[in-house]
Amino acid sequence: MSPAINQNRTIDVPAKPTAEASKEFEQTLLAVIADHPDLILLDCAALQRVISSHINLLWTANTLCREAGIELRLLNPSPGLFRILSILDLLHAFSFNEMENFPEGQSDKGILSISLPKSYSEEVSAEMDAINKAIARFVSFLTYIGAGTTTMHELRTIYYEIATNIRQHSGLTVSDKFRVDINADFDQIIMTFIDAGRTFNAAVAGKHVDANIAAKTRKRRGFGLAMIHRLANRLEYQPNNDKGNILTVYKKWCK
Amino acid sequence: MHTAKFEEQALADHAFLIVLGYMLDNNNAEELVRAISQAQERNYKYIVVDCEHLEFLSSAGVGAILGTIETSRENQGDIILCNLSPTIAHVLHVLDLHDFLTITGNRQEALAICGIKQG
Repeated sequence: MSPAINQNRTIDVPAKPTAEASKEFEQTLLAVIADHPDLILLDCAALQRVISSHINLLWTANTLCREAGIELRLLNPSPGLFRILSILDLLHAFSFNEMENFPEGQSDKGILSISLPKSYSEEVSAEMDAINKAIARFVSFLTYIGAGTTTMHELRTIYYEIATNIRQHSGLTVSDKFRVDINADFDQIIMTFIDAGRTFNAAVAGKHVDANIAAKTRKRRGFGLAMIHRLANRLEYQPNNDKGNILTVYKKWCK
Repeated sequence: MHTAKFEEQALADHAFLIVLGYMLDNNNAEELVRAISQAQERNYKYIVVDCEHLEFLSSAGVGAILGTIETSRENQGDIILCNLSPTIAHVLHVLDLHDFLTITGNRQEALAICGIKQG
């Protein structure tokens, strides 16, 4: 079955780019190019798991359209496709049509010029219900940017441990809030926690967990900082002016 | 089983089973300590903690295990973790606890360590 074409010259990029599907895609594309439309749209909605063959198809289409003087745009690119194109430094080689599968409120064409929407900030009340909801939003964000299962679990754990440490040890009350800035770079996620509680340098806490000593002494607390250190790649601490803390966590990530 | 609550069950006169819910964190770590301590006080040498449903383990959960395991080991028993998901196993590995803790792939292997024969 040939790739679907509608009146707007939209061609579906095959989810499974087998040799046969790729050949049909290219034949369909060449047929559309032969009509010399002003614009061709490649619908990438089916590309949730992007492989190199997909990129080859897109690049071939890009080249053919450019040589024919026809504008080509990608329609419905997934965050995963965006990220792959970004990593390959091909993002700016493509134009994008309005996206439909970005989260509500973020389907702004302006986003397209800066690629993947990759950061957010929020203030979180220092109480468990608010923290759990903030973590749920964080997990949604990680899902959205295509973080892998292990990375997502590690980041969720880091977030939980830092947020609960702030809640339990900073002296903040339930009416107080701390701020979280999340920034997903191509190869790392940067999480910054800013609170106005008691000063505490979490970055100097030890990474080592001596299980034998902990067991012999029946130690049940104090593993959170070690866990954060072990799961993160780097921690940076600075006092928040005269009161409070700014803790930045750097974590390499991959799909 | 999308609940954080535990299920508790005597397996034999020397072995006790605790099936964790989907989360072991600050909210219920003390409850696990209580359940393990009560089983130890009732002379259950082995405590099998089945993590089949466990999706999230916080440092408080780790502390609940580490803080109670020595009592079982001093009584020639152990706390045995089984059915860990890859992500939970990864957290324990990152903390270098995988060699210290007794971890089995499934409940049957845990029961074998307890000396309980399956029919």
